Amino acid sequence: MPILDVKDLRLYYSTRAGPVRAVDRVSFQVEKGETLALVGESGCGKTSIGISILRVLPRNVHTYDGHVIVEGEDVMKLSDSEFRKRIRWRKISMVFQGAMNALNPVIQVGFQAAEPLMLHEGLDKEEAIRRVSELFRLVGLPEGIERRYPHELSGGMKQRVVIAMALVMKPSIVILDEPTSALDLMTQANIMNLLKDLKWEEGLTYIFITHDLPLAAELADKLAVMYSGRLVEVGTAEQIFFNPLHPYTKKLIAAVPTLREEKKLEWIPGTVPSLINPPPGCRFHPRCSEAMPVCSEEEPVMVEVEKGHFVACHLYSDKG
Amino acid sequence: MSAPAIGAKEAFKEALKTLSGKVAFGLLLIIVLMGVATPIYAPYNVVKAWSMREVWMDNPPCAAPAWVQFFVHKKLPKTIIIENEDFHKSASTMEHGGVTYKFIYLDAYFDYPYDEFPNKISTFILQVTPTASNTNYVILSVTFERPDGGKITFVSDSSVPVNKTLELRETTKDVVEAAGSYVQSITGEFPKNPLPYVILFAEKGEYMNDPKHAEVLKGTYRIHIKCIAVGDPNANVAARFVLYGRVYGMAGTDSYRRDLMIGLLWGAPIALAFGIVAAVVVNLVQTILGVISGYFGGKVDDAVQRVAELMMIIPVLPILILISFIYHIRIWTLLAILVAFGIVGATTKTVRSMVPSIKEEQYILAAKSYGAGSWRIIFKHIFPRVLPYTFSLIATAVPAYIFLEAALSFLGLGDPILPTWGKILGDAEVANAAYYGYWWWIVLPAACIGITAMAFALLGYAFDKVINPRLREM
Repeated sequence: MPILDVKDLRLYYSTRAGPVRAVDRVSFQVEKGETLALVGESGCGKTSIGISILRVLPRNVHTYDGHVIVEGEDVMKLSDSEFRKRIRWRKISMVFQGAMNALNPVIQVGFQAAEPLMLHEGLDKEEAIRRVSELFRLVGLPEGIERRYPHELSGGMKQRVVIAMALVMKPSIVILDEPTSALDLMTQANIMNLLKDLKWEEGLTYIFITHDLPLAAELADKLAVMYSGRLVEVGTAEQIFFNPLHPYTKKLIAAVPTLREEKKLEWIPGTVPSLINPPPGCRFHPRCSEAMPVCSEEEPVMVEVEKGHFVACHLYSDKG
Repeated sequence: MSAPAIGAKEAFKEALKTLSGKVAFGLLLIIVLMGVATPIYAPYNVVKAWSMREVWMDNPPCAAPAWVQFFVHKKLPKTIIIENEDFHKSASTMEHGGVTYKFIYLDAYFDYPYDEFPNKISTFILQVTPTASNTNYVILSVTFERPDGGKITFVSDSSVPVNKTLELRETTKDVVEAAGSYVQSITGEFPKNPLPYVILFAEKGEYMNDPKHAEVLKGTYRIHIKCIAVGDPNANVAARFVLYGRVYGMAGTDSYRRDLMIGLLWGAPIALAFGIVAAVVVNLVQTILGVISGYFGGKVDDAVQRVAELMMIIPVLPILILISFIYHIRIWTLLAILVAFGIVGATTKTVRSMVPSIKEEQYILAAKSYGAGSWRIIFKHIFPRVLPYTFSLIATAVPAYIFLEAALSFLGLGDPILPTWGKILGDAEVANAAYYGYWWWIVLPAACIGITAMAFALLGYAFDKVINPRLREM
């Protein structure tokens, strides 16, 4: 049984121009101890998947439905307070995008990281901060950092604090939303190694949201490629990198720069489609070099091309 | 206006580093020390009697502060009080024709080494109280003896009723006449308008009734009281003498003879308590409502903002004047009314404008995701962000409230019992202190208000520099 099973998840935001289909019928499964990387361009709905799993929705939600099954239980059926008490941070936690802004500048970091403990376990301040100190050692922060304010910490240290904060309630699933996007390469490498170690030591399941394919390859067992609010291809890291099927995935991989190699970086003509009025049929067809007439008429369905390798493209619809 | 990325504690530390912050904290420390010293100088039961005239009768009216002497290089007269115990008493009885005569003599000496005549408005008071049970009248004489041997008899062998206090002042007819006669005995002419405060203490001469030209006679003066009681060996006499000076204490006195130092000292804690409580409560409540309004938005926001707008256009001062005029409210009731009118207002609106951007920050989302409720987010995450801004508002609001209280007191609508700086100024205005030249009565309370206001204004500037990076000193 997968630890997390997302079925037909939809999250639309209402705007004056109409609903924005940020997450449109997305389904995927993650096994225990596995890392799923959600990759795609900016604005394709990656973060929206994260916040809809954790149910931290903005005010302007238009539609929010589907199934999120955590360890066999459909948590979408839980009331808000029940979800807050039992699921958030106890089972699923999140490392938010942008370490620089993920901490309140006027609260000591130890206290901030300890807040979930005080809220959920009812620990007093001293006890909670003591527990947080242990966790700070685990994520490789030096002694005595608990009483510091965020501006006294480096970017890497702040990111470690945010990671410690996500682990404080010992969740089984951690959603990592671009955990290293604001960091320099060395710090990024350090954080990635930390995340790997934590995964092995704590048996964590990650949902790793990133736009950085090589980084996803570092950590992920499984990749889900997202385009315009929908998943276009899901497979193991090997399958996606060595045998990309969807034309979008191919282009995405071709656009990855490599060191000291004569290679013209590919790009995709056209722009990312509007999520308010997505093109009919396959949403990628206006930019697709292999588009066929059927692409603009019928929406492709996910088919399993080989074991564990799914793709939603008319090129492969007969192979399913 | 965006929220400062600095905590309350940090803001305080940073504010202390600026020059204006240091000066402000120094001044505030002095004001607070003044407040602490107040109960030692004048306990609460003393200041409670501020509006009771009879309590202050031993003080000279409209006396300048004692330190004036250092500037005029003159020894100015201080108040001299001779209590009953200080009078030297002697008594003897004599039998004559089966009737007992009791003779009682009271003597008091005092030095007058000053360069000026004593207080003009109220020069002296001599209270003589004969007591007897077997007779209704005693024969009394009161003589004032000058260092040069001159004798002025205020009461000469007159029959006075017993168990009643005979009060002699510079305005008593007998005293004025005695003084006039004394001048006549020297210059041969009874003055048109005898001025006892000059005549009693002037060198003999032509000008001894003219305060401008008369010279002060320095030396030891004597008050001699003789009392004869017929038929009562138990008769007795009590006396008390006060000679009012021209200087008093550190801050002088007003026309009601009150020690202004008491008023000024008590004014400090009252002004601070009033200003700080009003500013802190009003601004904190407004800030919290602003955060709530901005955080929840929608109908809550609308309701708070509309009420805030309504409150902002209500003219509070005329309403306060009306209420004070009708009900003669205490200062603490005034405070409560101010707070009631200040629950929402400009601060609510400013803070509300800062909240939407804070609300969208990542850590608020993080806090929501780990299960923090709305109120926890409001008080733990958003409120601390806007708090330093509120501090600077509070610092600048304190003098505004002190001025408001002073203005009301000045109009005679202040607290009916406690002295405040504004009330002292109001009294000075009523007594035409500026016209008569009682400058200490105006300058000192005005300086107190000014210095306190300046301290808070500087504090406000210091906070402004800390929370507004564009003003920061490099």
